[in-house]
Amino acid sequence: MNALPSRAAGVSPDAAAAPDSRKSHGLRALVASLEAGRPLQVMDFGGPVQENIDFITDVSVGAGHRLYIDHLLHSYEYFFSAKEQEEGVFQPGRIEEFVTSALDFPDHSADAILIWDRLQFFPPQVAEAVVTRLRRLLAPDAFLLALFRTDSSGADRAPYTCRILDGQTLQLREQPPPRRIQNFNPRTIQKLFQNYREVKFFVSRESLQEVLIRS
Amino acid sequence: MWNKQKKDDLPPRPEPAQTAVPGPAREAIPTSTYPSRRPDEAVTRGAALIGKSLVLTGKISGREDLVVDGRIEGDVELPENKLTVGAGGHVQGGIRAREVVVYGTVHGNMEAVEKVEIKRNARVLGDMRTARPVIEEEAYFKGNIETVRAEAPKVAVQRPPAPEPPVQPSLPNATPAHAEARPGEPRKG
Repeated sequence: MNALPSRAAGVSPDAAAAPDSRKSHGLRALVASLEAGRPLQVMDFGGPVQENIDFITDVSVGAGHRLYIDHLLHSYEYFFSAKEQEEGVFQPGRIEEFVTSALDFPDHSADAILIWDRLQFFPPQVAEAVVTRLRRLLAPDAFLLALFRTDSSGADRAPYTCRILDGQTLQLREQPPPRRIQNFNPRTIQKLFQNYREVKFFVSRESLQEVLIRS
Repeated sequence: MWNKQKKDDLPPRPEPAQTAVPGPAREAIPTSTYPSRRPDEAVTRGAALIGKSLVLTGKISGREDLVVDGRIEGDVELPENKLTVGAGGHVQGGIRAREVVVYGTVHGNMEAVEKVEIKRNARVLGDMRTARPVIEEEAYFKGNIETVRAEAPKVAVQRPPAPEPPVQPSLPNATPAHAEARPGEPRKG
């Protein structure tokens, strides 16, 4: 029996027709990894989205997974002062303090992590610390799904609200206000996740790079 | 592991006098106890009310709906009823109820047989376990969600008194001593 509801792995006829929706090969691969036949622990750092809650925790058909939710970008903005965020200069130990407080979970306790496009809104040293910590949280061979915009040419951008419409369809909508965004290309993404076992890139339209990372 | 109360997850920055909502606007939770979005009057009518100026410390339990516009520091147990935390309300402790609706602030784990609903601008730090989790997107929620199957509605049936068990002289001590009276029943004799 699949751990996820049967509609999860399949395609909802309405999903493909929804505005701003797109096929997500990264999501499809991650969902397939969750079909363990028992409730697993998923972490979503994009903040609460009802569709994602329903999709991951739905118990009416399948086993239903546990879902930890946090808006990691909000936690970052709350933790660091405006000056720290503006200048990107942090006192020694501050980043570790943030990572420890925001991601205070036992090692190997997550079976999947959805970080969406949030890493791109952190200063590089914060993004690196978060990625390092997330690797410790992931169970062996578990997946992390991240999105990177490749057209970020210095202009501020609003982060996406990412809705899971079905097991292979995402709806992405920008959620203002715009924020400073870091540039990433496949080489810098590969470097960011260099300590992970595998980094898989999925071609996506509209200058969006889907990356599925295996711990 | 996941059910531990996430006190450690509280942002390390000292809590200001007013509870701040993390987010770009950094809006504070309204201090007025007259919520901007008043809970549905039809739903809360007849419920007990903890008013805006009240601060209660300790465990609350009962069998009636409750609306909290003040502050509770302790656990709330209303297993058959609905708890509404108003926009100015604050519960610092665990909650167990049939249904929970949060417009204000909850720091603690919540368990509801039917539904937990976290409204826009509400702030919840803690895990939830319910049949139907509903979180509006502009709510602040940090915690773990575990969905459980909703229990079938209990139908109050007047059961006939159980027949006396047949006397079995050969097994005089078959019935354990603690079975003589069920909890809540008076002992005979």
